[in-house]
Amino acid sequence: MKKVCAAVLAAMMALCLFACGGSDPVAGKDEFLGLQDGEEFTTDKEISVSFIRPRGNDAQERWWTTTVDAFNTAYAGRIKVSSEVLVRGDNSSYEQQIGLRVAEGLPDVMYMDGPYVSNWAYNGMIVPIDNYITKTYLSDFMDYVIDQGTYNERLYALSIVDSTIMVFYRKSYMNAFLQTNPKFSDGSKIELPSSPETAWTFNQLAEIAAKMTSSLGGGKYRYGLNIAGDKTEWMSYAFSPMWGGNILGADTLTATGNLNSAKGLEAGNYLRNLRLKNAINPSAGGTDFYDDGVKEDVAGSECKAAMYFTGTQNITKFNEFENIAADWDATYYPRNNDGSYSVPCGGWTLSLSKDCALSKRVAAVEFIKYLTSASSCQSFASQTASPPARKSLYESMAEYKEGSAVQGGAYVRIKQQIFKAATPRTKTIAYAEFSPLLAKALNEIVSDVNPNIKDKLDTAAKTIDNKIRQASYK
Amino acid sequence: MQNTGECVVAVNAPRGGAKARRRAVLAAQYVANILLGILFISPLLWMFVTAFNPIQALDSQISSITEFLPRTLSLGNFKAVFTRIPMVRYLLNTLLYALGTVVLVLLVNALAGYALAKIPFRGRGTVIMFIVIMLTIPFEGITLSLYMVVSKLQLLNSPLAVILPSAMSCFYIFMFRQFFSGIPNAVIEAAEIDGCKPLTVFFRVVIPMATPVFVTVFILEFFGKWSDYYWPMLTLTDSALWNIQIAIADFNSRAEHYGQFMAALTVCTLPIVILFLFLQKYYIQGIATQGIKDM
Amino acid sequence: MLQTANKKISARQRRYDLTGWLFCLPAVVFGAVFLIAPILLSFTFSFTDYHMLRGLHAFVGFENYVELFSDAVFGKAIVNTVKFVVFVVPLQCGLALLLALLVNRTAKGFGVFKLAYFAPVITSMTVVALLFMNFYDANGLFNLLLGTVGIDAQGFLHDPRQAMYSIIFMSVWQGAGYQMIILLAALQNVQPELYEAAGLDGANGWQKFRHVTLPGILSVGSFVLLITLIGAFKLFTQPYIMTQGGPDNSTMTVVLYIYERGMTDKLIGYGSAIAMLFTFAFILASAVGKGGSRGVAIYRRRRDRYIEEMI
Repeated sequence: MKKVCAAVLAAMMALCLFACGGSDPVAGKDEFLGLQDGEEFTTDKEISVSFIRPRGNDAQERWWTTTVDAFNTAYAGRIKVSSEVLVRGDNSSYEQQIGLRVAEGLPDVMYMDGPYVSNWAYNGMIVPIDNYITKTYLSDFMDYVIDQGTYNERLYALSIVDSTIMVFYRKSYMNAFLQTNPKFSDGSKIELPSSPETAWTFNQLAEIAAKMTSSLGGGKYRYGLNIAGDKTEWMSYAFSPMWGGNILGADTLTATGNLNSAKGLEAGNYLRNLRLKNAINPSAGGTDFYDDGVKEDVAGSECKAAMYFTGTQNITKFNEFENIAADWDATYYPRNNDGSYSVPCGGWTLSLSKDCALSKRVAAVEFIKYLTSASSCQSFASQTASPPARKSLYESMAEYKEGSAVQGGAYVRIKQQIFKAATPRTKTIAYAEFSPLLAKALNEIVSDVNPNIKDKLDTAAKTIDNKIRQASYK
Repeated sequence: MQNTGECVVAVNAPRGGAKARRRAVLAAQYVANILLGILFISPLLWMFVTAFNPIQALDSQISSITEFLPRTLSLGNFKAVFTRIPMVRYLLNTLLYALGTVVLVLLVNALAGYALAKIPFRGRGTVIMFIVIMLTIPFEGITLSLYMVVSKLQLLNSPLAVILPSAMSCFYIFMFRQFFSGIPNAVIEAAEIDGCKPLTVFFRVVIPMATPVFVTVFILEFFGKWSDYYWPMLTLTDSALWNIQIAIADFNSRAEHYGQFMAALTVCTLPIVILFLFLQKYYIQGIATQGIKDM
Repeated sequence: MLQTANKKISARQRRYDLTGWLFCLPAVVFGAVFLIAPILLSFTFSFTDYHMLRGLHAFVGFENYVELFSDAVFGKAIVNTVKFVVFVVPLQCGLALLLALLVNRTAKGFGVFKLAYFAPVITSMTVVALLFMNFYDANGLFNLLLGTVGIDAQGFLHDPRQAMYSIIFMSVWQGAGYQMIILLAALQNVQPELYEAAGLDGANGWQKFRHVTLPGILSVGSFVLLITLIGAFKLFTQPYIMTQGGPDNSTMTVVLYIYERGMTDKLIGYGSAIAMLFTFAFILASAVGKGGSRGVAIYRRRRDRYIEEMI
């Protein structure tokens, strides 16, 4: 009996340990605690700042290592940044891994995917940075970038570069295709759009892709389109615009009735038809578009996809191969079938975690400001072929200037569609609950043998709502 | 006369038939074993063979089986596996966790098992009862709260997160207890009379006699820790600390092509297979006696 | 006289106590921190709304359990787990018995066969899951093989009706060798005289099997069934790596659901409730299993006594 009581007491005490643990109070919006623009950062002793980010592709990794080293050199004796690189798995997303870290204490500065800002801010994982950055500094950033990093009227995160989705294509196959004088089902001529207003609609893209699929003999095909991406986020990112901006309802916390609405069903059927019409290979790998890439000590095989529906972050992959670098081009993200246009973008952002000690925050934001400075943004944008987050850079960078001939004007098109209709991903505090489930449903719609599309969307909506309810978001 | 002849025939016939039947049974056994054996080992054989295929062809459009098979054997995939991801570090990590755990497990559980078997201390019965109860609790049932405990102890992302929770195991304690119970008390009393302290008795006298059970526990725990995935995946988020199982599960999405992925799987399997071939006898003995002891 | 005797016992006993507890100390400490504490905490958390990020706010009584009662995915998880157990246990143990019988000879080469059957066990489950995920792919090995005999490509892991069976098939293959080793030892423990006696009585192969072999390995056999059962209930790695519980939650298992709710959704309270139900089920099953094996032991003793009386 005594032993049982002792055990229960121990449990209670242990429980207190768990329940306790508050965080520093959040400063008000107008309290400025940072350094003015141009003000030098001084300190008595070196402050160490921890930084965490996911592992990127080779070009991104190179930039990060160089830039962080450069920062440490420039701020030697004042600030020292140590980076931790999380390797993203296919099953466990970066966000999940960060979530698992919360218990042991988050690093000071975190590189995070934009749409998670609301979720992490709501859960208290990140703190606002607008106390530390002047409005003048922020004025050069694209409006949607600021919008993406804002939650509850506080700015939590800032981007260095952005990303957006294009329809990449191989010039050799596209030209060969266009020479056959192809026509849409309504008789109009198929040609490459010259402006975002005339971008292909989703239906038109499907038609073109189906027409472009050609047999390579031996039961193999070069498919018209490749839509492969990661398992946990890609499909939501790529196809959310098809819902017309109302995927989680007005309160952004209701999936039923919105995710599985008529528009949702339309989107599901669209994806399924891509497969049924043989426009895509449901088990395509990520490299089908450039499988025939040739570089030192890698022999290519055959290109298995003439077009690639993917984000700008893959451009550096194309440029690794001599023959592909010269052969790729890109056209605009498709318009919705009803003519409306909304281009998904919004990339990764830098934020300040709750576990960054108050005394360290100015130093940590120094690091963030260094990474988001104009020169730094420019080098990141050009080295990783990503659209920059700063407005001024679209003027100064050669490939984005109107009329530029770089890569056949692909970068100009990137800029055009961003300026025309850039729409960050669905802003909701339930992003962690919503996006992976939608992506899973869409993935299954494409890859399952005989999916019931309505069921899949209904189940996804119900589960998302359930999770929202259990997480007490509303 | 005729009768004898018939008798002889009658006596001979069944004996000849029985021998032939036995030979037929043996032959059938051989055939069945060969067929089943090939069936059983073919996936692993496939994995091993296709690991040598250097072609940059993804499996997304292979239309015939022969395309998988390498036309030229090359070690390129293995090289790629070791250069693209720090495979050596992962192997060393796995080895560290396995050995570290095993050493701790042997120490902690053998001491406890011996005490429960040979030292008549007050409260022994209660401890045994507790252990019997704990034995029924599955690890998967406490994973969540164990995770919270480990994180509050600041052990996350350190080898200790993987080593410490496995230190005490009710199963091994009982295994040790059972074994030590079989040691005649005379041996221990003889050592005590010689003036040895209990700890010395344990280390100098008892342990040398306990080689079989030590080897069994060593093997069971080592092999178990080597293939551990769930718990290390939860607690070791820093990729520098990954063990090899986490690494190849992650490599699945980053392998450039089929052959590379198979090479990674092979590299993961080979060390343990080689170790197994060396320790075959003990491993099989250890598993086999598990069941007998319960009889 | 009596007093000195008592004191002497006391001192010796105290020495025993000291060494005994000292020897047990490491185990007790580790056990308390990493085994007892978690189970108590798990129990307590299941009655709270503990969220990994937002902390513990309130005790909500049985709310989590009530929620579980109407949780469709949880129901599916239970059904799938039971389905897995119901198929894997007899299939794996049956196959193991078959293999053990086949390999129960000291002829040349049979050692190699033993190794071949045991090889999948040595390969870790992670490797096997990844390998088979590849094989089950739409353009993977299995579909190609089916294609050569003219059968259409199957969905396997992408077909809600086939996914669980694909996992079952793979698990049976991977684990059979382990049970085979145990059953083999049991087979070799059956006294050959019993076979001879049965042969003299005119029994043929099948009858020998039924009346000598099976009873002889009964207790080991039930042990094998028990450990396979226990292992099967804990199904996690295969569905986590291969299907993440899909498609349509057809491969969602209880342990995977604990992970999804507790770790992914960060609802420690809810996840603990599932974990507690799982643990209770286990304790119940173990009790039944122990009772069962004790029943078997009693039966065996009675039967041995009967045989002795006969002889």
